[in-house]
Amino acid sequence: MIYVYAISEPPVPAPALRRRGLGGATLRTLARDGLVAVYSRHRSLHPHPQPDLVLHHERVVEAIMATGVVLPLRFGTQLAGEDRLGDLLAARHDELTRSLERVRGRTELGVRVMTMRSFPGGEAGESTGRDYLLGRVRRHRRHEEAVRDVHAALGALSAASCIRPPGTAPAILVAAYLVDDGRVAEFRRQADQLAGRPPGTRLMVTGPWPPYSFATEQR
Amino acid sequence: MTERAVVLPTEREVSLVEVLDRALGAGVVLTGDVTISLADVDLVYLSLRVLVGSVGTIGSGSDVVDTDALSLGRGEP
Repeated sequence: MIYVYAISEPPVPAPALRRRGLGGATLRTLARDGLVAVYSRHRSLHPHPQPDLVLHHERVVEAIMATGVVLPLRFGTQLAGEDRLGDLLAARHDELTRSLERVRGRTELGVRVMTMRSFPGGEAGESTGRDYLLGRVRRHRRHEEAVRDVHAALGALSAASCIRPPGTAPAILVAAYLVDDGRVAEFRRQADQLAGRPPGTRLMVTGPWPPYSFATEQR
Repeated sequence: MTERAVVLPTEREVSLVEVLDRALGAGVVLTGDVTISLADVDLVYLSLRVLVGSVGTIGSGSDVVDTDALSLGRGEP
């Protein structure tokens, strides 16, 4: 049984493979027609998504990212063996090659805008239920506009962008941006300028991430 | 009407959420026969609370982060 971490292009520099895979397994590569998969062999493996295993997967992917272009695989990819992996690399060759080209020389950054005020809370002067409800609508609209502005401004500096489902309760924007390496500093400066718009929100930039959000062709 | 303050997660906690969210919900799906059940994904967010608690990024007393805020993608109120 094998577990697969990422797709890259051969040769994968040795430093990226010095790290150990899940369960301390040796990292191996399988090259096929200009693509290479990084994987490890396991007698038995049950990659349940515990945070430490997911973070381990992430560190392997980041080690590859540090040395070259990478397409991160979703956590949990286990296959019967190298033959199956080789078949999949061949079958998906064109699509994976295009994806590698799309992310080459680019970095994924995450942006999260959070409100420091929970929605049910009212503002000063909202003494009646009606005032409160109107205020709530106003705040919601203000947030929507702010999020649109932030996403447009950061999207303009990016090669691609996507809005991700906002799961965290106070987040009003969760987005990912694929940014040319040469524009990352500019992107961060722009994000700093947008921070705090509107008042009562906080903007966080995270990353650089392996390009998980742009690893597959977007519909 | 009083305003409820929301204690925001720290950058480290946000980064953890961002990692889990990406590695479990994005990235290349090489083959359709690899699936992680929703129940499993729920579990990881549950255990994240334990992890976040153990890395010592949470303050004590009233500064405790609202861990509900970390259950990304789940149970949005």
